[in-house]
Amino acid sequence: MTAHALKAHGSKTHGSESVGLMSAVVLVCVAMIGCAASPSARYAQAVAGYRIALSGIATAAEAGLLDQDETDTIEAVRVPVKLTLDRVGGSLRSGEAVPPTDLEQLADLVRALETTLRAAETDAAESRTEASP
Amino acid sequence: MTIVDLIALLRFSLEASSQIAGLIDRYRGNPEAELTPDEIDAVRGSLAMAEAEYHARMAAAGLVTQRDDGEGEKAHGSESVGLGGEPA
Repeated sequence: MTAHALKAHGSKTHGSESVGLMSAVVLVCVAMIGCAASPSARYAQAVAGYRIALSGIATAAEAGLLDQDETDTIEAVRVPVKLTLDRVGGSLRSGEAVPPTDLEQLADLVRALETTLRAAETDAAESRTEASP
Repeated sequence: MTIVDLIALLRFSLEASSQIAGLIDRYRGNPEAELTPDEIDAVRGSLAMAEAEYHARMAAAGLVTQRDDGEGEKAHGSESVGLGGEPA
């Protein structure tokens, strides 16, 4: 099935499902980063949360709930999270101390991802409302 | 919601539950514990695999994503886009 067909199939009819899905994804990310104490533990939890977020976004895309504009918006905030995870992971692996600011920046970036996903949800819900007779 | 959507949601829920359960087991006993280098390598490896799967699934859905290595993931019938939106 092409992307266009997927979008026509689901994008404007299943907006409410995407709302619940993405909110759950991001809540998990934020909660997981906050509940570990050591830098490496926080890193591992951030990675796990990020992996869950990726899975949720891909699932929403496969269900036809995302279009390219929404994907671009999400990507603009997802990539900095990934780059920060790579940087922190590299520092931990080489035995370098991870500055607390890096972990705080990671939390800030995840919160930005949360805001973006919620905005995408709102757009999908509004599109669904407008499409209704 | 179609049966396909339900299956996708079930798959996502199971995957998320599994990962959360693993983390709880890992840190329940000692939240201050640092990961060993091997464990950090394993986490980094899982991140790389998840990233690759994400790009593949998004491309299969016809959506263009950005690669942090500067290469764009080419979706069906669309241009490849590098990091920052420049043509790859």
